[in-house]
Amino acid sequence: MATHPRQDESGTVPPRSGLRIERLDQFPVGRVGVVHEVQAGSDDIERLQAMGVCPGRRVMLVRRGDPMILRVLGSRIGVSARLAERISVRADE
Amino acid sequence: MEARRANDAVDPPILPPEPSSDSLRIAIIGNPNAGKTTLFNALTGMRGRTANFPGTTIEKHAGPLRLGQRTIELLDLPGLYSIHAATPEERLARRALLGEIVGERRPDAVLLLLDATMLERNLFLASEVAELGLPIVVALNMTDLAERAGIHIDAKRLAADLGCPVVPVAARLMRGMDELRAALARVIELPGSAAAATPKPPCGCAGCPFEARFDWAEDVGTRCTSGRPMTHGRQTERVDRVLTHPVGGVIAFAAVMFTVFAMIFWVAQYPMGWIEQGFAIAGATVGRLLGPGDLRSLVTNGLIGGVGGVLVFLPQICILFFFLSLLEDTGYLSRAAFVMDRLMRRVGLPGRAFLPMLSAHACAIPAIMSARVIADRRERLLTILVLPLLSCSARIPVYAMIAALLFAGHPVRASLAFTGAYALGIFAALGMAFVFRTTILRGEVKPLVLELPSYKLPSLRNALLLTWDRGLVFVRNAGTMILLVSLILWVLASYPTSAPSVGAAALAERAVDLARDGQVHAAAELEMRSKSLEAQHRLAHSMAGRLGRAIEPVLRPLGFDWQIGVGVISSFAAREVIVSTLAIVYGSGDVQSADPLTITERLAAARRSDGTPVFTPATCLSLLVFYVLAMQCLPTQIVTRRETGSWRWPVFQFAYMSVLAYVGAWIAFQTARGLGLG
Repeated sequence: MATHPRQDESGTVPPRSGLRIERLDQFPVGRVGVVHEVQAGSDDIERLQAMGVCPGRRVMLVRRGDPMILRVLGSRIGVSARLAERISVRADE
Repeated sequence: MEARRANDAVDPPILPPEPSSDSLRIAIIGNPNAGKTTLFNALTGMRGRTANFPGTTIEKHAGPLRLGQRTIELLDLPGLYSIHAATPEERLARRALLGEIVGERRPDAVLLLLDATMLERNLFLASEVAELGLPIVVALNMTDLAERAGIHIDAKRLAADLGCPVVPVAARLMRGMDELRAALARVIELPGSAAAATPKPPCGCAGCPFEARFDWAEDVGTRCTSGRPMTHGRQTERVDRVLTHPVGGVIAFAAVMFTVFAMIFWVAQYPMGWIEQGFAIAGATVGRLLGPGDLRSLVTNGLIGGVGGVLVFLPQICILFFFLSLLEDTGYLSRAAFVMDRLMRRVGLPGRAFLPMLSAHACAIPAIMSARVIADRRERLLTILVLPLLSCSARIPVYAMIAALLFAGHPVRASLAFTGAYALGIFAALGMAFVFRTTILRGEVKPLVLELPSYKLPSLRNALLLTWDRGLVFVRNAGTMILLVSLILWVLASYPTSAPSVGAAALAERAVDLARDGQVHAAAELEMRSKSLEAQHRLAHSMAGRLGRAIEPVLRPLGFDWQIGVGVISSFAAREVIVSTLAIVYGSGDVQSADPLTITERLAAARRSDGTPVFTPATCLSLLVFYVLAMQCLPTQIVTRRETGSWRWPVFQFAYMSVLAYVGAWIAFQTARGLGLG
């Protein structure tokens, strides 16, 4: 599936079609973003996708840290940073 | 039933649905936290049963559901987000829905529970369930909470979009239950009708990716919902700012845990006292009726003493599960798991392991049972292996005895010894978890993916039902086992019978003489001394006594003599037994007069043959460390066997804890002696 873009020091990836794409764990707290890519491959990522963290869904970082808290589809989900690193988000237009 | 099945196999394969109503079955399926248990309890009342799915340790709740004239079986499946995910529970729910479990009939219909406050998220599961080819009735739950948050859902529209009946309910308030029963009855009674139609796969294909399903869910959700859904959960987020804070959350967790503990130990002492008294009275009454002899000893000490020894822990277990159920219902337990994850992860345990570890301070048996909250098998196994190291309440009488021996008259130091014992247990459990993580159960902790549901008022009804359920499981599993083991130990401590002690007989004779001379008090005291001497004599010559002498060379480096050896052997089934055994071997009387104060006084006065005290500080410390770390609870081992599915793990658990206890006690004894503590 989608390849995981390698980040530079600041953790951002080169903008694609003019939009800023960031790793979910580095997205600003409180801003709504749209899930861009999910690097699949484990049961845990699949569970996260079934809970709504999959491309096209709106997501918001509620609390930063490890684990962090996301808000998606009206629910709050606690997620380890290890998983959040594998999800990229673009700011909602 | 079996005969019918056999005939069915010969008959043509296409058959009308079974006419006997009791064989019909409806499965409840829904997201975790969507209110499945509440709905199940609301529909079946007190009549639900808990069992395991055949060949698994996953629990199955089933209960009878009255639908008009019929009674059908309602089956509560584990909560899940997707039926294609890979946890054991989700796989099992999928297999149950497809009728792939041997010994389990496929459900005739599905009661799909959707949370109205999170319709879109819940519709994802709906899109998967619709592909199973079973008739569906949707219960749209939490409509009360949705309305309060300003979310309005058009149930008719939703029914049209899903192609199945939709009934708005509020299971917590028992609202909509009659309508739901009516809808279920229509599906059961009119198979093949519009009411019982099997919905078509909504988003095209069975292999659709997540995106397509969520696009469909968003579509349906938007069409059927009006209002301002973003206000929902504001309150929860405000509370969570404190409860999920890395520091504040841990402090809050400690406060909650302390309150639950205080409740367990403070409230439970009253019913525990009643149970102890009740069994003491029962033992005395039955003892008078039976008259002296082996049968009396068997019934009063073996049977009644054994049952009482189990039931005395029932209040603590019930209170624990009652509060855990309330905490779970409010949504708090997820926050506790969230803040603890960060800390537990360092020793290789998942955040969810805190729940069994908390329970283990009451009793390891319900703790091992509650380890089911940990989804990953290896992490569950790891948790189960270290749980018995945490100080359960059966150790309290032992700690109390040793603390009193060590620091008689110094309550502050005695309570420090107590705290130290608890701390040692926690330290040992976390340390061993770390050791196992780097050796036999290697691997990283599974990353956390945990929903933090909105806070709700807990359901008292759910809590009471769960308490009742867990209490029954405890009495059934632990009760029968402890009873059996206490009978075996009674035999070990009573046989072979020896000739009456010469000294005891002489004392008894003198007591009779004194009584004749009118010196009643002196006579009574002599008689008691005679009896305790006789009990000591009998135990010393019994199999337990001989075993104690046989293992003395092994226990010597720990500072234990053969009498303590007998105590260690006798407490193999249940730790607290050592108190009464030591009372007997050091000659302070029968089990019945086991008043802790007099026991410690007598033990403190006990002397070796060379005149030095038996219970020196070094021996006491060694004994304390030994009882913190040793696996002396056969019922726990039975439960470990049941939960891990193999004898390998209880045997390993026993072995590693015995080695740990021996080495720990040896270090404690040698260090204390080196410091000049005797």
